[in-house]
Amino acid sequence: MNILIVDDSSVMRKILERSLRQAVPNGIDRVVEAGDGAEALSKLESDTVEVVFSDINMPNVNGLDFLRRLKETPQKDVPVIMVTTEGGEKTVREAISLGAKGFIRKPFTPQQMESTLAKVMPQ
Amino acid sequence: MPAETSIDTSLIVGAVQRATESVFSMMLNPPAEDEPHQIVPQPEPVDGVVALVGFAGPWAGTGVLFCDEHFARKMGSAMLMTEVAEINGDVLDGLGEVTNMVLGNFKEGLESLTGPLQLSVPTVVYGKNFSTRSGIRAEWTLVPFTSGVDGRFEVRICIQQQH
Repeated sequence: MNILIVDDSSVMRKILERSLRQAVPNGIDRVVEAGDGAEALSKLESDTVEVVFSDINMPNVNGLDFLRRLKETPQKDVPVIMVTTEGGEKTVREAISLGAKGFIRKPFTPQQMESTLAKVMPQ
Repeated sequence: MPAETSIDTSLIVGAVQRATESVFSMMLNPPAEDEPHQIVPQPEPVDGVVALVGFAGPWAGTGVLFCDEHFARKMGSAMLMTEVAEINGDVLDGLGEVTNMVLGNFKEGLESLTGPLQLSVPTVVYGKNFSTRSGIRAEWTLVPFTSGVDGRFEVRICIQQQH
């Protein structure tokens, strides 16, 4: 499985990748990284990924604007899981209405990554 | 729900402690332990790392995570799972992310009283003998912790209702 991780923090991208590799030890083929929503949209044009993990609170194009713009692209069906501290009801409702398929709240455990990924990407 | 017009310090301190313990117990091991809080008009000048986020909405203000250089390196090492000898971009980035998590969780814990708040992306400053000032005219609540990653750090909150 190829995965795109979108977060403005390079350290958080590393932690997310590490947690994902722990959660699904043989399930990750390649990890593509992006620092905001605009870079993520560009990466989705050039790389084939099966699932996206995206932060919400990012500079430039944030996670909700990323979802909004993704809907207008040929990659609109790629499932997006939000990984964020912004877990308020209003934010969750807005993200779901924009197409988010799952939520993981920071801080997270590899087990939470695994269970959310299993719900979004059933084998 | 209408926002409260004042928030008891104990509720702010409790929300900071719950948020900090939640983040540190899951991201960094062993978890942080509480110490008694202080209320001050302005924090004293510091040596070390200060990571700041802004709160906006019916209440506005600043949240800060402050630590000395030694603790910053230890925390960076724990997050990156490699020994960090000096403060570098990854350490500052990691501290910004921890601050985002702690104060994001704090914000959510307080929103039943304040109404919905927005959180800015973090800004991280590293240096010696520097001061920070908030445009908000309110006292600061300083909530210190000791952490098993070796040392102390402090979460600082200055928040005020907007009219």
